[in-house]
Parts: sequence; C-alpha cells; structure tokens
Amino acid sequence: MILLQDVIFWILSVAAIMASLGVVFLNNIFRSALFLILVFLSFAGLYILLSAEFVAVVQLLVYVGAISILIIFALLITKNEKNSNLPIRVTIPALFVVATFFVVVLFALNSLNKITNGTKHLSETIANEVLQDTSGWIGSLLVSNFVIPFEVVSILLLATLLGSLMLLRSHSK
Amino acid sequence: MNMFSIFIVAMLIFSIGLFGALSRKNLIAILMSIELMFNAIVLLAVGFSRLGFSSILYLGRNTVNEEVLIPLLSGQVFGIFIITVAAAEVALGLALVLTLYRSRDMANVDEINELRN
Repeated sequence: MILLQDVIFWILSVAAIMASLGVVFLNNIFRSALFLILVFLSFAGLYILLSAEFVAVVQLLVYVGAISILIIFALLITKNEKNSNLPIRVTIPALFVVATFFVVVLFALNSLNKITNGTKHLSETIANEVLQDTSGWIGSLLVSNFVIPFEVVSILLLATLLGSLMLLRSHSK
Repeated sequence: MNMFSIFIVAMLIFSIGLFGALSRKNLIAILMSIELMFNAIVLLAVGFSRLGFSSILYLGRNTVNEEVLIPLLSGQVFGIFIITVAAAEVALGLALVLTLYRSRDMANVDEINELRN
C-alpha cells in the first residue's frame, strides 16, 4: 500500500537532492543560489511532514527569508563573471574524501538497522496528543530545560552582530 | 517514510555539501555548501526525534508528561538551535567575504596567498 505521506516524502527528497546537486555543480553562482532556495523550501516541506511545524516556520523565516537574501546580496555586491563558480584542482581528492565518508555512514546505517530491528514506532495516540501543539511545548522547553543553551545562543547572536559591524565598518574614519 | 530513508536522504545531501565545500573556488559557494550540510543535520535531528529511538522507548504509554515530551521534542529544539547558529555563521562569513573583497578585490580561495611571499 502506498501512502500519500510516502509519495510526498520522496517527491520532496528527490527535489532536495537534485537541487543540492545543482547548487554544487552549476558553474553560474547566481543559479546556484536560486537552487539553494529550492533546497530550503523542500526541507521546510519535509519538516511539516515530520510534524515539526515550528521548525518548518523557523526554516522559512530564517533560511528562505534571511539567509538567501543575504547570500544573493553578497553575490550582487561582489563582482562575478559568468563562470565564477569553477572547481579548484583538488576535485579528485575531494571526491575520495566524500566517498570514504559515505561508506562509513553506510556502515553506521547497518548498525542502526541492527538496533532497531523488530521494534515499532511511537503509538499514534501519544503522537497525536503530543505533536498537535508542538509550538507551545517547544516554547516551554526553551525556558525550562534548555534555558542555558538559549542564553548562550543569545550571547552568540550579540557577538555575531558586533563582529559583523566591526568587520564591515568603514576604514576611513 | 521511516528513519532509514530520512537517514539516507540527509547523508546524501551532507555528502553533496561536503564535496562542494571541499572543491569550490568561490568563497560564497563554499558558504552555500556549508548551509547544505547544516540543513542535512537539522533534518536528521528532527527525524530522529519523531521516528528514532526515543519514540520507541515510550511505546504503549497513554499519558503525556515531561518524560514523554522531552525526548519527543528535544530534536526539534536542537534543530532550532542549529538554525540559529547557522544564521550567525553565515552572517559572519559573508562579512568576512565582503571585507576580503574590499581589500583584495576578489572572492576566490585560491588567490589568497598573502602569507606565501
């Protein structure tokens, strides 16, 4: 039996993989940036499919809204020729490193298969009860159990803001 | 849609991003590949919290308390933290690229050789 959920999952996954191949292998860097937006959008769809609506909305706001605009802005400021996204000469060693990484990950997948063999998923009653109001629960978790990383991330954001301002401040002062 | 297909998809995109980060010449292209890797890890965290081991532990329970909630939602909280750190990283990285562009008039990694001579 083919579930609609699985069909949507595979459509979104294939779109994400094809678009990320486009990000890496296209020679025109502006088209790479546009494909990157497509990757972000399909990931937001995947999060909705995994019943993580809050993460999907954060993905849309932060990645699609802010980061892609920032990247395109930087591309427009810097001077880019038509074929500006060429690979460097070490492509073959990079391919070797990536292949090694992927083989190691496949071994990890094998052990994951051994561990979860014969177990079932979350009972749907709990899933429906917990996962229908995830934003509220995430909010209460952020200020109770995860309050220390929350504060550390706020300090990090302040430091990043000040650092970017320092770097881009005009030298002719 | 199970954990294994999510794992395969996330690791494929992570590998594509790793290859891009290792083999591109333009600094902004390297930043975009790093964004691909961040996205793959966020997908893995969210997928594990929904379909991974923690959901197996609470099979058969019928009450919702913190004991059920924290393993189910901590992956999503991790994902939000990763997204925040990635946003900070890309802002700082683009500031560095623009500073480099302003002083050297280029944004390619193979032309940065000021320490060589």
